[in-house]
Amino acid sequence: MKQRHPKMPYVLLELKMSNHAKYVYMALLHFRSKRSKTIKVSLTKVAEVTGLKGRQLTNHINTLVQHNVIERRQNTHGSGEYGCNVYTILCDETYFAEIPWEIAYEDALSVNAKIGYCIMKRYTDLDKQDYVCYMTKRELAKKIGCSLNEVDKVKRNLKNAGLIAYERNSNKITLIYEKALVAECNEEIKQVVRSKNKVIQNENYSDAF
Amino acid sequence: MKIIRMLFKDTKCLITTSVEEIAKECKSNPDDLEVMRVLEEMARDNEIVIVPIRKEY
Repeated sequence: MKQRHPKMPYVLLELKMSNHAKYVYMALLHFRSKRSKTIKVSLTKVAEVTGLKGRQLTNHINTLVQHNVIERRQNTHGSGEYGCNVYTILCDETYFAEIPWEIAYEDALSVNAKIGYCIMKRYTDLDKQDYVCYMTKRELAKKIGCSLNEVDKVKRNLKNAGLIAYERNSNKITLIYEKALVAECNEEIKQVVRSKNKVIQNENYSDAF
Repeated sequence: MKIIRMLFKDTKCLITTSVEEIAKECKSNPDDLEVMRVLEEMARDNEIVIVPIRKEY
């Protein structure tokens, strides 16, 4: 069963804020139920996903609140005791980059690498379905908000994890993991459609008998 | 529910099914758009023909 893929809104990726804050948003999506705008989760659980300490996490959540990406309120029980936090997504989710679950919450990848992957996905041509994006090192550095050396690290990190492929002195970056994932899924759909053809054939045989 | 009728070119079988039904049978749980994209690809490869459903008068 395919897991729900977290969807990173383009609006959020374009915002000038730390990548950790963006990653906290991604971590909140971990606990989202389908398309519901409200997410009910405790700080401890978000901290487990992000690997951040309580104070840092609160700061990043505050940043998201300040930028009107999310709204936070504390759930209260009938007895007046405080419960867990309830976050409401406020940002525009019309356009988004859908990131495979296993990439979004992979511990081996750095936060910059994950956000970098989101940006690469954002600049691929979805109509072509070739999962190729053309971005220079400078463009990537600007979009991710890091130095040129950090971009090299991000690309190397993603390449070593088997997620992207690129050549030296070339702007072309292929998201090979996702390309293979989609090809696998498409092949399965084709098999299901072909199986319908076989069923009809067998039915014809049974009619003949 | 999006009903589609398709003709398999090799066996000349005409079957009527729905996009949701195909999606439900897949383990990878694809959405309607992905299924439609694959069907169009199969049509492009001359494996099937998507027959438009017209109102019968």
